[in-house]
Amino acid sequence: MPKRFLIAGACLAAAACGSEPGVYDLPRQEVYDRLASNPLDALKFRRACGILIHLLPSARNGDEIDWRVTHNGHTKVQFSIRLEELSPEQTRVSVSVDSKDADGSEAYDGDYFTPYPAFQQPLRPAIEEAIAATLEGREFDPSRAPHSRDDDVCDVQRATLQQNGVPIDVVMQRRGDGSSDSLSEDGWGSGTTD
Amino acid sequence: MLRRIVFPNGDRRPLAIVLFALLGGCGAAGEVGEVYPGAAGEIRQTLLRIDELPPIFGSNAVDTHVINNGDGTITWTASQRFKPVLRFIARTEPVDAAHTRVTVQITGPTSAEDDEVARRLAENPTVRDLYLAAMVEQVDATLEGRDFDMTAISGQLALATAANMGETVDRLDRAAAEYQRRDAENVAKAYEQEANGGWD
Repeated sequence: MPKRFLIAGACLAAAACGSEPGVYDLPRQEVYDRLASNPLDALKFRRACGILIHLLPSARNGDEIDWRVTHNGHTKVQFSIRLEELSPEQTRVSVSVDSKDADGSEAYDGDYFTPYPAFQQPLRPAIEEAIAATLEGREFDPSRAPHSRDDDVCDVQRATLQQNGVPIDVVMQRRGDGSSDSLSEDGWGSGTTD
Repeated sequence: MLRRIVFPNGDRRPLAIVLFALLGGCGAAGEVGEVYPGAAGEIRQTLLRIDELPPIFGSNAVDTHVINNGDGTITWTASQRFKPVLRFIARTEPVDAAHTRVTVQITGPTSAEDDEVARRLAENPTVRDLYLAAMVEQVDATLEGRDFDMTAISGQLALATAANMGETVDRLDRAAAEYQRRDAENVAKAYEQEANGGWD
């Protein structure tokens, strides 16, 4: 068999098997540079729940990057990634949702309840897909991070923003059902995360 | 319960939006009569409280205007983007002092013989029958003081869906793309508004 066919076959086999999730054929520094100041807009525009959020990245130690997700200056949720150099040309990216529910489970894990959610659930696969899309130089692919079909509160909030161009908290404020401040206290908590 | 279509991006739209599009918004037609306890005047007062079309239309997709015509009939006019697209007319006829027959009819937004929607209703009888069955159920539920029962129209729903599946799929694709474009535009505008000082 010609050598080029063997090489092509090997490549196809490798592609079919796929690489380990979260492992990228990029140097650690390259991964760091692409993500360290990246606001991950795909999450904001594809997975937010109809409130205006901002993802604020902050890098530390050269191998960890945190994102604080805020709404009206209040922190809604925090997540981070850790980079591990597997070889000079290969890096593992581990995602961690740092905000926790009252019982210690991960926020937005699919069963997380908050009156005014920021993201469709589960959040972690969406973060992983946003990072993968960034590192692979492609568009965010929703099918790689399916979200719950029973996330009604999020769906309603999201539809309000998408159909009217006005976020849900502003709509509620106009209706006199609440204000951004009161929602922040009641729904998003007075601490650093919801 | 509101029936919705889930698009690939997870967004949900009422099924009727798509079927509505098949009509272009569809000929007049179909009448179903039912006798209810109550004087005709009382029945009309109760019917006037119906200010939304059946849930298959979805409250966001269609605006509804209801009027008492003063001749024993009540008209609900459905509009999309301020444009009348469909009418339901309920006729109330006293059977005796304590009973009234209610007959519901579906028709185009105008009474003109060349009304485009009326023509399409005639050309799409399964969709026409679905809408009419849904409105009849809405009237029945209201007069019986109960919630809308989706199972009452399941047969018509299945027939309409099956009969229009090919075109529905094409229109779904086009509608999904348009919705996604508009949604993204609205979200971007909201962030722009926030950056410019927010809302009063």
